[in-house]
Amino acid sequence: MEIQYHPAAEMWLAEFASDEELIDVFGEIMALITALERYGRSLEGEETSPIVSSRFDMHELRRTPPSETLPYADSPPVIRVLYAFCQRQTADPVAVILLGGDKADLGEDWYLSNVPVSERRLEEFVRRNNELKPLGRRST
Amino acid sequence: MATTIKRLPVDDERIDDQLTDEDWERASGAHDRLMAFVQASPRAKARFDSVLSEIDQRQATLRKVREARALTQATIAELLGMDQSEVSRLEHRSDMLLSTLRRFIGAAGGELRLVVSFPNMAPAELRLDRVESKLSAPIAKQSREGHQIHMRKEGYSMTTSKKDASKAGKLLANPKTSKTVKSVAASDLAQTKSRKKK
Repeated sequence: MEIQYHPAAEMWLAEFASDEELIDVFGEIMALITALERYGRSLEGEETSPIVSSRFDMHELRRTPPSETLPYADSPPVIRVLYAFCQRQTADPVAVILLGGDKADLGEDWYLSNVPVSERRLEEFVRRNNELKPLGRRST
Repeated sequence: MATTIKRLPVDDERIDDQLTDEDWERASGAHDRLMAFVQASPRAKARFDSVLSEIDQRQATLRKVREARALTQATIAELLGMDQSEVSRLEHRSDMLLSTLRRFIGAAGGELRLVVSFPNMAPAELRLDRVESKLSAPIAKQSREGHQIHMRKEGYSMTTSKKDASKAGKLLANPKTSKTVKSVAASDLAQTKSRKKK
């Protein structure tokens, strides 16, 4: 699945890449994004989960400290990267990377402010990319 | 191994108003630019590779494993002495007996290995020798005569014992046996013979 980025999300990620202390975390986040590119909607398990508080078809990529299932992440931060699926008129759907952050301190409150920001970003993104149509949240 | 993160980049909405048309125009190349950063840093690349291969492994469902070996559910069913519908159900199951999983992987021509990993410890293969005898009970209670092949403790081949070798011979002789089953049986027979020589 094709991956696109909101410019602000790219800037956030590029900051990781330029910091020697954060380069490992950067590699992990890019692996998560590449997994999304590789598996698209069928990506399932620990690395992704739907954002039920969004009215869009929004999901998160998860970089979580060590657990039985995620032994690779050996320390904080608890990174979340919000993305949304968009439909295209003539081509396959795309996933738009919207926003990332560390929710270690805020916990679930992190979503309260960042999901609305991501929704505004998605609206601006599709306003500038006419061929994209945001998908609504899927009822489960 | 553990790293201390002192300062993290913050993705702040205030930046959105400052984005220029130029920023938006170059947005389509973002993935390539970021992946170039990964390739440029050996450390980032190493972490990228290990995380992605872990995810790949978790995404490897039984169905994908079977399809990767170009096997049909019917072939697996024949090898395991089950109905095709049972194999279908198996592939959708989220939990099953280890022995069942072992037999499925064996029928696909592979070997099931269990790896345990803890923080601060290198991954190690889990040996279940002591419980193995309990685990090796066949899943299919009603196996079609002459078609059932036992996955044995060693797990390397479908049949290893003398008794099983004769079974493999019968399978080969049976005109109803499918091509794939025959090829597996033939290779098992060959393996049993080569073991005898040793």
